[in-house]
Amino acid sequence: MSEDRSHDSPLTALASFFGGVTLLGWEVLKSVLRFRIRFTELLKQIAFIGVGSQAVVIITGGFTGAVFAAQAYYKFNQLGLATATGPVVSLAMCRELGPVLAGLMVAGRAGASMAAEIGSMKVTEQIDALRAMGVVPTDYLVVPRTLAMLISMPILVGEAIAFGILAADLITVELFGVPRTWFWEQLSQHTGADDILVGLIKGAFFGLIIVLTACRQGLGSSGGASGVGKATTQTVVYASLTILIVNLFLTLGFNQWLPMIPFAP
Amino acid sequence: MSLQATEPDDFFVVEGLTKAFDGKPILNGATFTIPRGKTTVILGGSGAGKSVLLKHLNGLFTPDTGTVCVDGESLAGKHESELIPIRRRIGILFQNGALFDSMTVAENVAFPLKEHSKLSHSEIASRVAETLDHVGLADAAETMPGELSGGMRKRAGLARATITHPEAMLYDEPTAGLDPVLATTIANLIIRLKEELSLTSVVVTHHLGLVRTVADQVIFLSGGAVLFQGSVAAFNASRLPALIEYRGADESLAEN
Repeated sequence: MSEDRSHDSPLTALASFFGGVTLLGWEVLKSVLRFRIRFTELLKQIAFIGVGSQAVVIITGGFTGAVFAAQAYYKFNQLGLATATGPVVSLAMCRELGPVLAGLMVAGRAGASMAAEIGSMKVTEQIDALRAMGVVPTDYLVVPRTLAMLISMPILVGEAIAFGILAADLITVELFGVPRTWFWEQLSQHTGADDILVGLIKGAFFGLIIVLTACRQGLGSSGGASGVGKATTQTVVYASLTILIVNLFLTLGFNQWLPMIPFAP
Repeated sequence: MSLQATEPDDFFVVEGLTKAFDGKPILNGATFTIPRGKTTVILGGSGAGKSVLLKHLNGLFTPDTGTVCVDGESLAGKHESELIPIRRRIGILFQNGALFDSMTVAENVAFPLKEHSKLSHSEIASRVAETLDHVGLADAAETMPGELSGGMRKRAGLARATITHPEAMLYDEPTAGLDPVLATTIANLIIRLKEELSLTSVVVTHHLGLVRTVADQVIFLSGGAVLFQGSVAAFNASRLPALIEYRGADESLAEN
């Protein structure tokens, strides 16, 4: 049995959600600082989150880069700026589209799965069984998933960015005939290491949002199969919305701290 | 019911336990003691708060008010990590076994040893084989929990709970959903484990059959409070209307 929050006002539910996620994050931090890390579980989770999400993230990154390049080329070409397609796609993929889309895809795939798995464990008393055997569920379930996510997400974001840019090259150079040298010359002039770093850091932030949301919703499940379904849906919705909202503030902050390379005519 | 004088031989001492979920009271001042090395059966109708009460005994639930003492140590105010040493002394069999779906039966049974002992892989494997043999599941070691019947799940759960040789065992509806033959098998296992490991056992059930087979003491729960605590003979002789009705209903069910 656990507390039923279905009758809470939206504001109370929101406060409860952010409070729960923050407390869970604090518990995870304490466990990590005490080095309560289960390496076998960590490797399993890296395989599930990192390796398992590669295809979906690469396809998403690749097709987003390709579509963005196709759209940007049409407009830039009218203005005689066809070679600007590369930098625009590259900056957008590094700073925004790569991390955000990878985050949304991982929230849908790994986040939902985590919430469902932990939620099922909760409603079938497996979490109680862990506690009864003297195992802290945060150490056993949440810490390995959090570390795996923090390791995997920057790599996944890097792949999304890389495949997005490669797809943009394919469309711009092979389809529209922009010289490859120009494409890469312009791209490298306007894309720096800071832009890639921003994407990778954002990826880690979004990974943290996904894993804490999924684990919090899973551990708070109640009411059998319907409760697990609700926790899974809420994980995807809450994590996706939080990623989009947090991304705005990260963008504003990074524009000050790690700004884009200034345009030099 | 007033609290009995606490004896040094009481393993669990519960005083004035109250618990409510979403404002709905489940336990309402439950007070009782569980003697060491004996089997206590907690009886009561559906929704009487038996399982909730059981989960207070190892700190899985925190009471709203009241105290639970395990072997003289109060659980009040203890953090999750402080409860670990106490929980390791108490095994629990959950209603449906609560086996980990992602592990085989053998891996489930080995789990507490892997977590808390420094035994080698071969020593753990040998202990697991011995324990599974004890509960009659030697052939099911590599089976996944999803492939087990209800009775097998309970026996596997029992093997996992007892492999570390706890001092006390909590059984949550151990015979619920089982046919009479399997229910007798589980009852016999409860008796055998109590004798072999000198276990303090607490069995939550609504089956009077278990009172007849395993109980040294009976507690009857009604409306979240203890209505009766005493020996099996005293339970059978009690003229309390709720107990007469409960016994009568069970006999009438047996006749039909």
